[in-house]
Amino acid sequence: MERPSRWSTPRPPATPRTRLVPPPDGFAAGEQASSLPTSTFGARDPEVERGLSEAAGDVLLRFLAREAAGQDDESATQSATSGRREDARNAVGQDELTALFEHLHAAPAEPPDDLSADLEAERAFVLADVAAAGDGLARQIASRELQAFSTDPLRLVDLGREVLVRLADGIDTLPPAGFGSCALLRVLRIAARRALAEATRSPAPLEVRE
Amino acid sequence: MNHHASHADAARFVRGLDEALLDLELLPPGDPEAEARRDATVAVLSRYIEARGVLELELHFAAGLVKVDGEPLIEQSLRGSRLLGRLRARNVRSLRFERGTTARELRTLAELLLDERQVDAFSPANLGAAFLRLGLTHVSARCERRPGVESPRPDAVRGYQQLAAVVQDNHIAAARGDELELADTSGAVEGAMRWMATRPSDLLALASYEDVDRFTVGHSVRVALLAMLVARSVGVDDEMLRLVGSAALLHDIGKSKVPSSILFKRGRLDDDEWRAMSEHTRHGAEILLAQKGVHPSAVGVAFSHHLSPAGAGYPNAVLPFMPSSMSRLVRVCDVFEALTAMRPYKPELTPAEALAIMHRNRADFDQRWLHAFVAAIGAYPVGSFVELTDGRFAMVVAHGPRANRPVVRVVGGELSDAVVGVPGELEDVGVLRGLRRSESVVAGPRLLVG
Ligand SMILES: [Fe+2]
Repeated sequence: MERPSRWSTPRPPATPRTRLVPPPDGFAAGEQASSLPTSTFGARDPEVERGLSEAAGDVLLRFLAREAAGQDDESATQSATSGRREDARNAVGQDELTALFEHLHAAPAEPPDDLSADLEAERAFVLADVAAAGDGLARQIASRELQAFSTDPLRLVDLGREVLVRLADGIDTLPPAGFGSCALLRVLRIAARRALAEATRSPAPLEVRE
Repeated sequence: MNHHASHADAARFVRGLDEALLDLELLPPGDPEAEARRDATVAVLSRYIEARGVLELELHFAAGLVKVDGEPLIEQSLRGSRLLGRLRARNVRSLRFERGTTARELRTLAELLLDERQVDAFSPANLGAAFLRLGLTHVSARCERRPGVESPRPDAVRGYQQLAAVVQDNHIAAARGDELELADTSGAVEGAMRWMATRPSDLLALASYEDVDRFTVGHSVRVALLAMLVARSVGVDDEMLRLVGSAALLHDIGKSKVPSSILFKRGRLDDDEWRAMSEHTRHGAEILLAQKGVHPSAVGVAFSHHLSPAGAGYPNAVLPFMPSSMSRLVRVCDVFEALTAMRPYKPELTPAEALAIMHRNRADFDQRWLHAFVAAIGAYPVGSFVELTDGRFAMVVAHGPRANRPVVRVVGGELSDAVVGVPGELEDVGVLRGLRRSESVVAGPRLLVG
């Protein structure tokens, strides 16, 4: 009944399955799942739990597959969720672990960006997204906040040149029959272009971004 | 049936009680699924009573733990913070369920515990009469007269319970379209920060149980703990730590809007279902955006925790997206947690294997956060177990000079700590493999609550 796991690696051959401490009563995975008749626990039965965890696993598998393929390619996603490729994706060999440790050892310890970095940019993209594609109260709130940007484009200057270009170009390339027709996004594009022009006139604030 | 099996039934029964509370809050009265769950819980109770040849099951509540026969039910104590919180507020020290307890009585008890106007029913003077009046003939409780001075619970246990409660409460509120409990969220995160400052590895030990909650509560708690540990290791201030903890705790809140038929589907999701599932990120951002007082970082993290630094992944954003630094950190923690999470029927990856897979797909992750993650958590995290190349097992007690050379204490060996692969210490010895959580999971929590 147990299906092969997509995320497990082959066990080393001669290793006995040693438990360092006795399992807590009933918590060992096999036992927990097996001794309860599947029909008795309704939506909480182990079968459903398995479904839930597999669903979560599937989501993860798909995005790893999709991005490993380097494109939004539906067929790559499809084939990756089936059969052989899964197993290959799953296996972590000793050589790969060695490579990981070598990489970790060799890589320069560059500190990550400050945790506050790009929060403003992210906010602008979330607002644009929810205003165009969202629903209900959130959509109203996003639209209101975006309008505030458009009445005061200078507030956008702080986002920096890269973000502004990405915003404006992104909106430019939207299909005219789709989100390209969203009035709020068109207004945002104009505001972003204005902010860009302003930034070009006085580049100083852009250069001092962290 | 042996002792272990019946102890497991006691644990299932407590979980069923907790579920009964949740069902009353989430599902309409008379919902057949909820009724089936209560029936099953009662069946588990009879099986326990039958197997033990006793007349009743008695649950004791003390120090934040539920115990049966003096043994703590750790998983239920961590998960069942809703049930335990309500019992604590009513000074309930023990609950006794006799042979013949009915599903209807379970429901009545759950209703009584949920009804804030009926707190008085639990005062020792009213208790017997109130229970009888409600038809609770097989259920009895023992309560303290006054809120006693409760023995201090282990900090990590309490902290974990608070985090889990916050995730569950907020997911329930979001599912019902109610306002979120943001003050509680901050409070729980601040609590976690306090004990994280003293014994950071305690929480990962507690966080290692399987995740089979209705809202994958355990996953969110673990992601938050990991993100806070990593953030702390790079030296962020308390305010930022609170923000990252809160954002990570609520990162999957959009799942409360995914139809349960998809969330709980048996087997594989088809493309439409998967699309609906992947919308949880946009839903999450919408839920948080519509709340007053939510910091923008939490909205951003909910939206972009499945996006690569270049903006690949989902949701299919309207514009080419830029995840913030915080979202990039939460993504690293989210994927690591999902890969190493224990699941029924499925061996999980060890941390080292998970990191290898993430390294293989490195374009998906902010490399600098990935390195900070390894520096803070390790490929062989503190508290985990490893098998050494000389065939012995050891517990990792600290990070060593390199990621694959942790400081360990050999099981059954001398009590001193030694660095793997270092002359004069564990010379010529390497780490063969890390053990899976399911192979070593219980050591930590057992020690903590001993
Ligand atoms: Fe998610």
